[in-house]
Amino acid sequence: MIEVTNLSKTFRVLEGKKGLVGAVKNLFSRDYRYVEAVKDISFTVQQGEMLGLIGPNGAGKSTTIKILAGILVPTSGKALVNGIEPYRFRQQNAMKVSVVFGQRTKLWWDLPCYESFELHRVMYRIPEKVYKQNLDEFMEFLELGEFWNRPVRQLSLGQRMRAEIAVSLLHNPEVIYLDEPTIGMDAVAKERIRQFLLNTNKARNITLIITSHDMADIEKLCSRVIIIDHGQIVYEGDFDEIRHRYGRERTMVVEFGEEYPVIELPYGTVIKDEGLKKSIRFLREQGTAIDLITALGKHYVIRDVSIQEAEIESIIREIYEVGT
Amino acid sequence: MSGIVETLRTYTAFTLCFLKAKFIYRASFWISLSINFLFLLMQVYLWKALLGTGSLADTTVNEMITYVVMASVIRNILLSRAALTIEDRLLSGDIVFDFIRPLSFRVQLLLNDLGQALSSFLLQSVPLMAAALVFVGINPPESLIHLIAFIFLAIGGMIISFYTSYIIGLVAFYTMKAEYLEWLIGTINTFLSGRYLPLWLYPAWLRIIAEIAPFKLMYYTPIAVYMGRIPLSELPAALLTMFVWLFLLIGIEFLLWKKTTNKLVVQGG
Amino acid sequence: MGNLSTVFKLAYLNLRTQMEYRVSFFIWLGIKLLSYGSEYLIVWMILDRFKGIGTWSIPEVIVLWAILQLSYTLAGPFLFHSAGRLEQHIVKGSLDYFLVQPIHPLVNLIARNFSWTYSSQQVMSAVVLVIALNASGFDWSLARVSFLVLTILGGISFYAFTFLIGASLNFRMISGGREFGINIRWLMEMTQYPISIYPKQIQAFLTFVVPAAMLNYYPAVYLLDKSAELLHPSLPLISPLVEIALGIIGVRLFWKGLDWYQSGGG
Repeated sequence: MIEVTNLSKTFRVLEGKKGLVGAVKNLFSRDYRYVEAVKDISFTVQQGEMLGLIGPNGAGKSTTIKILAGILVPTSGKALVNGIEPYRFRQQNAMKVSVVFGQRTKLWWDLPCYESFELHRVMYRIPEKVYKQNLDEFMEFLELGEFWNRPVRQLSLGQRMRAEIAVSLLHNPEVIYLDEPTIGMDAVAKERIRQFLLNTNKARNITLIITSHDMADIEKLCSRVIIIDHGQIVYEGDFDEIRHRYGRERTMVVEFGEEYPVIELPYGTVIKDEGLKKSIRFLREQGTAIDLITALGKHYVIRDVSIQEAEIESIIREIYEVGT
Repeated sequence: MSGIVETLRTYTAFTLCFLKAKFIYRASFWISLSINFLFLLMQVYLWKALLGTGSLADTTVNEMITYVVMASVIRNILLSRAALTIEDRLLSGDIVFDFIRPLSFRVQLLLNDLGQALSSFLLQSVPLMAAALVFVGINPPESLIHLIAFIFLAIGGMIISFYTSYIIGLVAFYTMKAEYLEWLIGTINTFLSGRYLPLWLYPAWLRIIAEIAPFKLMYYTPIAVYMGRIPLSELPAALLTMFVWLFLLIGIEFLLWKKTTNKLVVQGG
Repeated sequence: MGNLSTVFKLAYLNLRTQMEYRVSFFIWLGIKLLSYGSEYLIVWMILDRFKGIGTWSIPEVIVLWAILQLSYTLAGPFLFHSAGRLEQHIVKGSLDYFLVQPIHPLVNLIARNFSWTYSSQQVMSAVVLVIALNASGFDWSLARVSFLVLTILGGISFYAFTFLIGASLNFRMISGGREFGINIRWLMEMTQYPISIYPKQIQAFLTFVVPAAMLNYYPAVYLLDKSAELLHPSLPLISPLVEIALGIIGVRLFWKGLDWYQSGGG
């Protein structure tokens, strides 16, 4: 279980000076600015939960994850991971958790993939049996055999991430933190990773905390979501609630059989008219999409319909903006 | 005509760039200057301790001190960044872009190094010499003619140093990392250039080798001319040797270059 | 600490990486040997004409030089690459992983970047030192040999200090952290000759500001029973201790830097 209580983190940032004179001055005196990356946040995560941390860039999500992982020390407040403060008892904490940073690798760059696995086995003192069992499982699902003998530097992004996540789970951690794990990957690769994480969570009851800019990741994986903006928690709950509370608008794109100049709608408004194709926006509370189409179908010829869910992205954006 | 203007313009740009860069990292500038000066002092005091008021092979303390100071002054202008740059460009294949540019890559390299040499001279050698004049004291040049010849030879030695570096860069492309070859040549250079010890103090067998190789033109020959150890009568010979080596090295570099780039163009990187 | 097998595993992987570039490995070894030998040769060439420097005979001067070299080649493998890589790790952000692994970050860093190419130089320096000591009439008594060992330990500590202070600066994201260490090591070349050849101000600088002379000169005065005019009579005996103390300070600075990294940077 993870408990975060009144966590705050302030960074001291150097202010650069302008121009040549400034550069010289810089050598003698430095100006600092204080940035509150995380402001008094509190939340709890139960064992086995899959939590998504989302927020705009610079919101404080990476900082929070780093504190939980034990990399950064909070300015005030406390974080407890399974009873201990991870930044105080780093090595003890390290045995039970794992971190994956999407943009940096912990694998040994110049050597074949399997060497990194071997290293992990020794470093975390994983018993032979456990190691073999886990490895067989990961090998199969993630098809590690494809590139097992290849140097890490020759792997594609998707392959590397598969290896990265597999390695991170070898020692059966209780918690795994994933910071932008699917960044830069293609849709198929992303799906594979997501599926793997879901299975792992189900089978081992690992707590998963994930940040991602890809809403599909969060949607498909996380039961709960915390939205952070400007260092504070702006929203906490699950996706359905978000949609329900915030995603009131829906947009329907209808391709008509003829170019009707005017469309009569039982509810909603036409927001874009491209001749045959028209975009209609309506509110959930006004009615369902089906009803609207049925009504339209009675009076007009309809060739095709597509319904756009209020995208999570735009909802989130809305929340970010409101949160300012 | 426009080629020359272009060349000059580029050259000025490079030099200004280096000068600016040196000023921005003022701390490292002062530190490297101090360390260079301390190194100089180390050699000066060593010779003072070794020679006292006496002399060796009729070299007095003051002469040795002069030698060592001039060597420090020259050191700054000999450095070339070329070898590694060449290797990088060839490996990455970026080299093909350089064929399209108005100024060929090779010319750019040379200008780059010349610019750096000039800025190093102004920012490192000049202060060093000033400090040496104040704290250490050096002998004046043997004569005006010798001084002028010294400048010629120093510049010639600098270009020889550059072209040696370029050739290394090209050869390294075929054999091993440029870094290793540079170290190797640097080591050989230490012995044969007369950087730490004038050639006339060398053991006979080494002196023969040093006299044949071009490296002495980087340190020994200019300084010996400055000090008058190479009399007026031998000046023409010294200058001729310099030109011959320049011609040879530039020629070799040119041929190697042609060969390498042809290979690249044919193979497509 | 992280147990021993992890350290060995890391060192093994490191060796494998360096061996991947097998040809380079041996060429590099050879080249280093050559350049190393040439430094020695130049000094010898100069000194050969004279019977020594001041009151220091040639073998005695070589002792000074060999102590420096041995200390460096013993400290180098642990610190040379590690210091350089640290800067890379910080910039790339991979340092964070070190903090989430169940092994001491400094041990982790060093085991991964241990340099294997120093072995030939280590042997050479040790051999040169022993020969030079003998030629200087060194008294191989227990007291002196123990002091010699202490001197070398001090030398390793001081070199370690030069690397660690650079690393500490790296943590604070002050550019040129590694260069700082490099500069100090260049400066130390001044003590390959007995510092009595320098004027008092420079001697003081090399004793009290950058205590490079404490690494080899002062201990050598004791070891070789030289009567020399010293800035202070106690210097020979306390020198190794000062150097070792600096090594410890260096480690502390490293930790402070890491603390800063955790609570300030990133």
